[in-house]
Amino acid sequence: MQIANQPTEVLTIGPEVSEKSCKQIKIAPPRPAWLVFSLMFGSCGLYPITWLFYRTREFKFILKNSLKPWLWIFVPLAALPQLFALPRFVKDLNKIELEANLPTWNAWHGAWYALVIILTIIFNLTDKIELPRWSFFPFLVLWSLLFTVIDQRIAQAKKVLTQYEYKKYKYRISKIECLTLLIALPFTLFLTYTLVAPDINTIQKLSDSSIYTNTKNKFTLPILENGWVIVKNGTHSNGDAILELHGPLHDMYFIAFQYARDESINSIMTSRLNAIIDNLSNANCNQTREFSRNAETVIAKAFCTGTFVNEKVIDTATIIETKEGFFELYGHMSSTAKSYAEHEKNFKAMAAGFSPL
Amino acid sequence: MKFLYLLIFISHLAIAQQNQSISWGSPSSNEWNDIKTVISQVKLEDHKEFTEIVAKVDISISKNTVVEKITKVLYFPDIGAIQNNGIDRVPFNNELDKIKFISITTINKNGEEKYFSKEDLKINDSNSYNTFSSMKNAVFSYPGLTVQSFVILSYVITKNIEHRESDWSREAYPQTYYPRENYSIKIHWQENMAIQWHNTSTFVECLESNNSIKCHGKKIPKALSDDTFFWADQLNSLQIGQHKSWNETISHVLEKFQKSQIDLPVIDSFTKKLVSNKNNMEEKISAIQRFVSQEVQYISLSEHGNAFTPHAVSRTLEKRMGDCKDKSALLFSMLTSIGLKPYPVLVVTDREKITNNLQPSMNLFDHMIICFDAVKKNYCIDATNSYSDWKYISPGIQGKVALPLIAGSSLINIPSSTYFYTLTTHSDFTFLKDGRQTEFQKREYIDEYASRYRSFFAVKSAKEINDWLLDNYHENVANKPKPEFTIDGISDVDKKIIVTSKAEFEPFVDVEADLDYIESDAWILSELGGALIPNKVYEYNTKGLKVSSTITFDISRNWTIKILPATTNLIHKYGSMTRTIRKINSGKAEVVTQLEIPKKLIPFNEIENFNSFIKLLKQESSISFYGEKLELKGSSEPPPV
Repeated sequence: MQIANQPTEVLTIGPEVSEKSCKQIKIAPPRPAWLVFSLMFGSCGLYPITWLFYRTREFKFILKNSLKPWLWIFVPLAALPQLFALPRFVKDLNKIELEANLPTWNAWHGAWYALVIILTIIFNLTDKIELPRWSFFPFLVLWSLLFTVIDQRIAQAKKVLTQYEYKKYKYRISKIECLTLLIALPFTLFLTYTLVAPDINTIQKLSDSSIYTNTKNKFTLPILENGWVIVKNGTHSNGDAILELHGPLHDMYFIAFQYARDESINSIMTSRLNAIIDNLSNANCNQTREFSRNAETVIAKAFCTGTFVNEKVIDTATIIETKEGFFELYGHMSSTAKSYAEHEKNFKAMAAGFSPL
Repeated sequence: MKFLYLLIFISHLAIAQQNQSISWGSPSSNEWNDIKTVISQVKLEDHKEFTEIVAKVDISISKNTVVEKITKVLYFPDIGAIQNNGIDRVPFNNELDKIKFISITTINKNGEEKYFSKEDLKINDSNSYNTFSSMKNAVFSYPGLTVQSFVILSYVITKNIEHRESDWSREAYPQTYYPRENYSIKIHWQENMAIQWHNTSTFVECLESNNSIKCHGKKIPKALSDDTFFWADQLNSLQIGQHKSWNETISHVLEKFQKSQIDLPVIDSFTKKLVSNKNNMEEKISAIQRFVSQEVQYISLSEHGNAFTPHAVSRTLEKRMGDCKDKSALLFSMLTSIGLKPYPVLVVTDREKITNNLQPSMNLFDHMIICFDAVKKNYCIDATNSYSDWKYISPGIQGKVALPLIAGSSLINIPSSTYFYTLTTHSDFTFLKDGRQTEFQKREYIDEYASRYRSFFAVKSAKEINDWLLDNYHENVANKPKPEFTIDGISDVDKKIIVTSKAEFEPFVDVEADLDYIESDAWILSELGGALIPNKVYEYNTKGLKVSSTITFDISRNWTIKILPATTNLIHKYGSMTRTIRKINSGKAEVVTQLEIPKKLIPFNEIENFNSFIKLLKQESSISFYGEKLELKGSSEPPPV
């Protein structure tokens, strides 16, 4: 009986390496696709870093080659090394598939490399370019699927190669993976939610150059860009807000709060500035006081700039007084340098334009 | 001998006549019955406050005399009305006027009549301790006043206008500070007399017929009072007079004024000696102004003959005394002798509004100043003000209605400064390592504001001044420290008044914790407190306020500044308050606040808005900042500043 996918040529298996140099290791058992995908997705796409380390270590053991597994932890982070590393990885996979008498994977004729490299480039560009917030979810799913696919190719081979000693997990997953999943999955789900929440929670879309008017609380806010939406309370606040607006960037919003009459502009502003300064690195705040349009009340404005996880951040606080009490518009925008520069002017102008009706 | 007896008799008669400016008569029975009929028709329940039931004025003008007959029926509903209005007075010129009282009678609620005893009539001077004139008051109290009494007051005053220094005029206010039920004024003059009249009151209707006018009004409500206002600016009136134009008034006053300009060589010689060591025109003017305002004592000898006519300048110089017109005349002659071309200006000290149809008359004015052009500007000197420099207009006359005695002139408002109250303050606050605070303050009061303080301080001893400054500090800054004060500029009218103080506060902040600090800008807050308009009814002329405040906070020994105070840019139609912040180093900042509220007439319907503006500025005058506790690095020395 002929094996259908018999390779037409015999591949050489890496450079000759003495058996002494190959450390005896236990290989991770083959795991179902759903579990691998969960780890990939649940770790917010970071699992490939350790995954590649362990898989190359296994390859090195099986193929007795000279790979340096610790170097592979950098492969998911940079596109340029991927140009060389990923074909090498697939080549080693093919050798193992040959050893297992399985048909070799052609990486979808190179499409797999291209997708991984493109996603890595896009990931790296997010430091410079603000992507639409909806893109995070398909990005993460695709990234996770790509590595799940290749993991499953390896798993198929592992199932055949029974001569190796496999780790035995009670629940098909190591303790560290389990812990990672328990901690990271809720975070990833929360992050995903926060990114899609403005879309899910959108109550009303606001158009550029319009004026949002709150007749109940008697204040107005100019809308100076497209992409602003009114979202449900609690989307960005803890639910105490009377109004929440989400902007065109994924971390860009305004929240309006109402305060009692026994507060004062000074006390509200002081507590807000303290909170802002506690959260920002290199915070620099400027406060101003001006009269409202009808000159009957004072408007307090504060603009604080700083950084948070290497992103430029601007936090604003605008406090007004109306017949209904004191109102504060807290604003937050954090973005890449390019998007920050594009949106800062309008964002500040919106914050400054918050005024009594 | 018979001739001698006749001469003595005639002279005694003349003396007796002179002392008998006041005589007594009685009403005709018809007149009395008419008044009693009016009283019987009064519905007492309609009058809950003091009311003039009848006010009737009949004026008859002839070439030499004006005869005014006044009849009033007054109603006193309660004790308050009796206490406030139970005493009345009739002003008169004891050398030119004669009064004949016809009735000062009270009718109580039982119909009993009480008559005034002429022995109870008292005459007093109408002026203060250093002012003498021929104007007297006949003062009387209504006899036997009880609750719900009526008073019938009737008298005739005959005024000799032939020998008056001024023209005759009369300004009658139909509306006054109590309600009037029936008001009438009739004026009749002889043919060939040119009597002018203007009525701006809407409470009376006037009809003019041949040589007479008759004005009537009914149920005239009382005029509302207020905190700060001039009746003459707010109440409309009926004005009658002789002058056809302001030019006529000007020529009459100038004629009187010129009478004082005699023995001018004496003045010229004295002036030249006074300014002999002065280098320029400004110094000469300063020397003259200080001499006339400070070395010529104010006393007004304005009896008949000098009511409108200044005494001779040589007499004023020699005696070193005079009133506003005497001092103005002397100032005029001295300024003339140094080559200037001064001119006198009449001033009304209780009017700030110029109405188009104000009847020209000398009687409108009660003050005189001297104005002139020098060093390319126009200046006006009030020679009675000893505490102001000539380079700005004396505080008491700014904005007042005035008449320059230059042919062709008409009424003007004396210029007033855009910022009457001008003040600069510097404060340094330093927090010491142990939490104590040192404070240095310097306040500089400028021009008119300095003049105000100078006149206030000049009459106080050093201890009294220090006590006042301490009270003022406790009221505005803090009530615990006892600062040391210095004060300069009281004796020099061309200097600022400079007050400095040094104080130390006991520890009042926790030096181990962050510093959440708020400090009021005390002197801005104090000035803003005074800028609130107290009026509720009438418009208000704000005087203009300008404060430049610089405060330095040094917290570097214990904290770094984490949150700087807010800059402010509060711009309003009524003024502005701007504040800039300069961070000198990590623990020291300078706060500069400019407050500018220019003078402005605030209509009564804007007073609430204006006061809201001031209250917002008061609210924003406080300065707050946040200091983060310094990390201890083993050294107790303060970081270099």
